[in-house]
Amino acid sequence: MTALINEQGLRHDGRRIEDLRPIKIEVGILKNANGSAYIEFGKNKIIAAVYGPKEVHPKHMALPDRAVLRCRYHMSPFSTDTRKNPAPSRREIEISKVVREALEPAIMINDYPRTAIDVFLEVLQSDGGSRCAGINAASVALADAGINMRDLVSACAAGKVGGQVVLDLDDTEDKEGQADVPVAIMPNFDQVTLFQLDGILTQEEFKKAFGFALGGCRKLYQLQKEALMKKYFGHGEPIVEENE
Amino acid sequence: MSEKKERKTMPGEALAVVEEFEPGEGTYSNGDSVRAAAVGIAEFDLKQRKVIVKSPVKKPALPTKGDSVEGVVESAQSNVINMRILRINGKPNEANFTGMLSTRQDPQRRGRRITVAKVADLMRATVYSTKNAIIHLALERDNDGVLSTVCSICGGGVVRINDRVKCKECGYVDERMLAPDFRGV
Repeated sequence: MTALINEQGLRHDGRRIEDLRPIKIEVGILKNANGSAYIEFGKNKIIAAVYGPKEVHPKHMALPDRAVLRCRYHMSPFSTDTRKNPAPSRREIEISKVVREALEPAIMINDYPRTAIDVFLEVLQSDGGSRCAGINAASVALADAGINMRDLVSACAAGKVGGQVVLDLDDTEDKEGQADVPVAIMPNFDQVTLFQLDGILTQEEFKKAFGFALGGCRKLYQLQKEALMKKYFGHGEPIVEENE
Repeated sequence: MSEKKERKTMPGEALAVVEEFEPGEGTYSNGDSVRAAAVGIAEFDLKQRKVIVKSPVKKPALPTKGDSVEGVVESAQSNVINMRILRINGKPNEANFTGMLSTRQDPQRRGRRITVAKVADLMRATVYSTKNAIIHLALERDNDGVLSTVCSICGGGVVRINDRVKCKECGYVDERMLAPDFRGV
């Protein structure tokens, strides 16, 4: 088996410890959804679709003062190396919940009382970090749907692999590594909307991982803005590379 | 000197401080700054000291006061009609909002007790309030009323006879509040 981090400090896919995988975001790819986005985050391929605000069914679920945000994270049967049962698994239900909780602070749900906003995340191909990739796509899709937002939500994971803290773990690193820290933020407010920690980190490692994740989120924010700029103004804004 | 200034913006981006500009359409204030709530072009009105974001994104269509809505009657009771809204100001809407038409309070009835509409009728109404987050409808405008219906006995096509409809199949005469542009089936 290849070492997860070699003597030169390179990871098994050739990245340095603070590198993100190649990322591509497209906005407005679905005709029938109110808002949509497609993200390629390394080998992850995810479609996000937003419907609403629309009438809530069943009606007793409607809230008198705000919209109900509903998220469905789903992995296609062909998204993994062995066929995945298309029925919602415990993991998918949990990720749907954390995605909803990550997006909700950024949406002005009080502007749409007694309505529902549905967010669908369909994972076409997964390679670790799909919840973060999904949040990035969903946030852009919500902006594409014209829903009033306080801020975009950008997400990225950091973790510990081969005894070192690294940014943006792929599937191999996620499985073989010692810790995974997915983080989502509202970049203009420096507010965290998602924070999870799977594994064990020392205080120093934790600080470093959190810093890495925040840095990753900020890079993602630039890519999200660029994708929206490209859709609505026909060009992307130049990306500010912090490491260069 | 130009009285307007423009800038491309994304949700959450700070546009001004509240002491300098008031938040307008497509913006919000979070206490100390005015921020964009949507993708668009921020326009700073230097004379009115107001900032708005003009968004190229299609806004979600929600029924608001004064809108003319068309839809299908889902339930019709003696004093209340529930209508599933299919069009808002002539534009198709797939959000499936339901409006409530209180026929007891309808000023056009003037004490007369007539059948305003029956289930499955296509009708036009005006949103007169969204209080308590319920879409209250009324037949306020001259062109409000039933646009299309069928015979409530045999389901056949109908023709207009003054304020009533007559079935072309069985001859049954029924009453409705018909719109001026009622078009039968």
